Amino acid sequence: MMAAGFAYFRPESLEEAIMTKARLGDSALYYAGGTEILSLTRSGHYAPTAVIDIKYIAECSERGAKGESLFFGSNLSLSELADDSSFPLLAAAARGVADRTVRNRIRLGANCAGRLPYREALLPFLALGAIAHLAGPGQAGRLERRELGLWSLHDKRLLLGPGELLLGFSIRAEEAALPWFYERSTKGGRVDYPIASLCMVARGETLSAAVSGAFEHPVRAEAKARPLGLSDFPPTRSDQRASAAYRAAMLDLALERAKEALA
Amino acid sequence: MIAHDRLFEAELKVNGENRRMALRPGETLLRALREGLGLTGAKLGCENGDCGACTVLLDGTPVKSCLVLAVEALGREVTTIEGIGDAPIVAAFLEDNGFQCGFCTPGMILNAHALLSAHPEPTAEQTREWMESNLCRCTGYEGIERAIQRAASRRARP
Amino acid sequence: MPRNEARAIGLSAPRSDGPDKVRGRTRFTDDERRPGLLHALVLPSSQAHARIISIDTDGARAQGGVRGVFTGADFSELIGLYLGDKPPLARGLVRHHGEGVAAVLADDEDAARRALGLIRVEYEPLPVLQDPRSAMAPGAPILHPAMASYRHIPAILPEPGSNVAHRSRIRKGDCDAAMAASELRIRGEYSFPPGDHCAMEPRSAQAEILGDGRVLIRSSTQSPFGVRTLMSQGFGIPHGMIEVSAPAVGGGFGGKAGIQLEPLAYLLSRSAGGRRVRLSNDREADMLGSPGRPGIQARVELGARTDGVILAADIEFLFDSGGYADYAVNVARAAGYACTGPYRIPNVRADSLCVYTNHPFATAFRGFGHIEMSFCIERAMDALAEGLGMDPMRLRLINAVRPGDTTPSLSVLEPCTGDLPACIETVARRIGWGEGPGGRPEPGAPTTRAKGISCFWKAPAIPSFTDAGAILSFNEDGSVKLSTGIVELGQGALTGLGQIVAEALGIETALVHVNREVSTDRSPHDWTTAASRSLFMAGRAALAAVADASSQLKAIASRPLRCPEEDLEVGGGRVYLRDDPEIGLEVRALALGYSYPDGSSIGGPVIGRGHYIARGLTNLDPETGRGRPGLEWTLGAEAVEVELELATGRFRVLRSACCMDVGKVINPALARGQVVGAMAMGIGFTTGEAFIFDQRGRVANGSLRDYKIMRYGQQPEYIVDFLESPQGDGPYGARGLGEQGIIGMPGALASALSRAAGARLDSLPITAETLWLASREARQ
Repeated sequence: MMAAGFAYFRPESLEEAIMTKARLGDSALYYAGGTEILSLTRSGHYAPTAVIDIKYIAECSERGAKGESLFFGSNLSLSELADDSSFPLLAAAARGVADRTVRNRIRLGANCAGRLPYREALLPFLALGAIAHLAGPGQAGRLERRELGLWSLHDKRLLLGPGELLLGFSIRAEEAALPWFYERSTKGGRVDYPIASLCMVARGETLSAAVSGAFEHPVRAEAKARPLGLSDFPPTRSDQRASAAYRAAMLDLALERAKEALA
Repeated sequence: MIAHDRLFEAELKVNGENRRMALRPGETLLRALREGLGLTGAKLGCENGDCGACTVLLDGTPVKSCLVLAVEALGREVTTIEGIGDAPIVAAFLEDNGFQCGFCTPGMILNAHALLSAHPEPTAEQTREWMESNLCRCTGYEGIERAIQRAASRRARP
Repeated sequence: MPRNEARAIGLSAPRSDGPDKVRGRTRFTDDERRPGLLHALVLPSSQAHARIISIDTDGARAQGGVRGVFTGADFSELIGLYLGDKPPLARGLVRHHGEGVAAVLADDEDAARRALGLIRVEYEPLPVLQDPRSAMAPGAPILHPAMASYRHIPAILPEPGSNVAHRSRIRKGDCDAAMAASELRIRGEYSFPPGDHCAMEPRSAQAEILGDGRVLIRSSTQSPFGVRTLMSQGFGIPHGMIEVSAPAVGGGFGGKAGIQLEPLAYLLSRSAGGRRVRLSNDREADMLGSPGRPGIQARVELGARTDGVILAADIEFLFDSGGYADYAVNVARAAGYACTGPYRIPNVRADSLCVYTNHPFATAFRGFGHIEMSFCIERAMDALAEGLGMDPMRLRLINAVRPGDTTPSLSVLEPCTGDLPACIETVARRIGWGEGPGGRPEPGAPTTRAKGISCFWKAPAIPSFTDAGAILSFNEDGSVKLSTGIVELGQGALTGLGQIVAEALGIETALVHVNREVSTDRSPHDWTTAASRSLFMAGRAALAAVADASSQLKAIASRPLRCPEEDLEVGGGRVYLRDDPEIGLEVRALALGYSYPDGSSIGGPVIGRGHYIARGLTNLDPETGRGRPGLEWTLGAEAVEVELELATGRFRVLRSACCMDVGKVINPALARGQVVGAMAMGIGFTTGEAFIFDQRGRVANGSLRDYKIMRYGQQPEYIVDFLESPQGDGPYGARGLGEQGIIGMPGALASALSRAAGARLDSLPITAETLWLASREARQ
């Protein structure tokens, strides 16, 4: 059942976006690809009074090298990320989500900050402890920007402040080329939410991983000088797609394969 | 800043034509096309982004119009099945029976057309990646696969 | 009429509706909306079984643009095709998750949605029945206490005071004696939950009442005349005052065959002074509110000799019909009289029941009782083969029915019944049965491949009075108009009918225009577009209409040609002397009357009339099931090859083969398309398409996000062969084939996956997790 209609705003600058959101409050949602907001509004989980379209904000649309970093703006679609060879782990993770036509619309930022618990485009960044670039109204009600490592910003979900907007993530250029492993399992076909989605990178002796689908939210784990195993993760969950036991078994297998791949 | 909180008038560019229409900010592109312009080729199959029967092209890129706001299409080019003309894929679908009931067909053809525009000789993997976006209940996908192969091979021939 | 060279039959004529469909020009029911339409939305029940304590509609009524808010209390009628058990909106009680409890009528959809969100329902949950055996256990709540008062057709046998909506009995020969004489007996239990058709077009209906009381219904229905009859019975309106029309339908698969949204759309229109009302399902309502397909719990026992000859079958089918019976009573009946599958079993005891539960209710689904039966029988055949140490294909060959054998209803298979042994041998050869790996998984190998084989049969499961009509007339340009009551669902029937007429008249198929819309006002009567009988029966009617038109043409032509009518032949657009073909007249010059050179005219528009009624069908004896329910049996065999990754349970269906004896292939491309589509649906049926229920009977996967049907890339290589043992009474020898391709799939695929996993998988769906668990258990 769709709620009453909502208003639409298309800010032209970052400041305008932040200020509009601050003015409208909680019932206004930042709007990117629309796939989550429109489907969850139809089902009654969201009832926004307004959407603020951030796709035209320059700071969210940047990508590429910035000094020694690689920046990925929130407005990049998952299809664009899937087709981008500069960060292969991210391309793989992005390619697994939904289907291509929906990926043409899903944006990086919204996928990472949304309500659904999968947030698979976040996993490569979470594994690496990437820097999240944020902008918000700040204490004084004026545009304030900050950067924060994901390992501090993420605890079950991104701990964004009121009215705060994710501009994108940056990683060090060399991190994009680290040995990596990705595996995603589903109940049956490819187009489905994951039972377990695993992203892992190897930095010297250290293995860093992030997993979603198997738990209520994305989970990261790290191990030095040893492989990552099931015991590094919380217990898996059970739902209509898979039992906890099957999830654990599939995650276990993925971790095994990761171990071989990154040895 | 563009801001709309009620019914407003706007011009949508659809199939190469500028169409003046009344839009609501919360209205999806799918409903605007069907109910505002009578372009009923795009279908209400699920309104949830799952089936692809609502697929249209936005600046040539296939999108599920049930999850796009009409207002987002302002300033962009919308292509529906009614505007695809004599693309090779259309004839191929006819020859290879890439359809039966026809309900998924507009979305299926548009996505296939966009695939072949982006990848004139798509690999099986590329074809699968794009075309798994559209559900068909009737054909088992055999006719669709053959039609795409036929259209691709026609483009390949000089 | 017989021709030496076919010019239309057996050719892959392009679909007449193709150009419109590929350009999005085809208008389905919901594609046409007039200004001023009122929009209706239905509030679905959040409970699977509950008493409705109260429904507060005040807030909804006060919403702007709302023209009415209704509950079950507003409508007293009960609706049902074979058993009248369903109120248009729940009355006092909800019997399944998603059952409509209230309806809003408003000027536009947004207003209707806002109002719907303001309706408050108070439920008192009741104990939930989630499978037929529980529903039949002593002390189970009776879901339809008023069953004794329900109107039903004589062939349906409800059992008031229980949850049994229908019981079919088959008593053939002496099962107990034959079992006792058997050298080997096996017993198995088989089951799967209910599911959904998932046609791409959700159901949609519009209703309006004119000034003189005429009711107009437009609906995505497979059965315009069926809807008319039920509207008449349900609401006491004379048939002649109801028009039901159907445009192209976006997939039916049986789900649009019964009565669906039309009664409620009509009632809402009636409440709004006859204004035109639109009632259209969103996907979730289509899956839960409108009917799906039944589930089953079954027991099959087979008794055989050591040489493989089966002597006896003892069968119980308990169909999970959900909260209402609709078509499912007849599904249970059909499964009863087809219960053995296409095997010559002389002694059969079978009980096939349609049982109420608190699941979403079930209607006809592709295969109609035969697919459910087939899964159970084919698994039992595999178990028997294993017990006998015999190749499962050989067991099927030994027991395959042949012309002259009797069905479970003691109906004798006609001489023209297809060649099942040849089908089995063909499909076995095509899949490479007996070649390559196909046994138990090798220790240490990460993947394994295996094959499975099954047989299927089905005759149209239709009332004994099922009919088809056809009207043929001519246009000035020499083209021909054919009007039948067949609805185009995607199956290509209209093209096939055009080919039949073209063949009979000796003209190009493109010159035959078959009506694309059916209207009960304009089209000749036709039972329903279902049961794989449309081309068969409407084809016969069309041929009769051609014959009738031809005789009228000859009557007119004989006068200017000054010859006896019997010397004339009609063909190639002319009426000519058989023994001197140069002498004749163009049909164009005759069909709308013939004018002599001096202007005087004779004849008039030639209108060919044809009809066909199911020949020789009888009712079934309620105690033994004896009778002749099947018009023509289309039978065949299927086989699949799968590859299984043992560690994960993930699998691929590599190849899927079907060989079916169809009598005559009218259009090879379209026939193949039907079989391929049916096989794809059968793969889904077996491997994931099933409702998942929580402990309170609510469906957890009632959307396409969670209920997965096959996607592009998952399809196997399809292998299709047709045999042509002509059906004596079929049009050009053709038999129906639209459903049959799905029927053998669950058995063949469950067989292959069981073999690959080294386990016996007797319940569906079979998912990767199922296989992972089974493989692990098998290895322990």
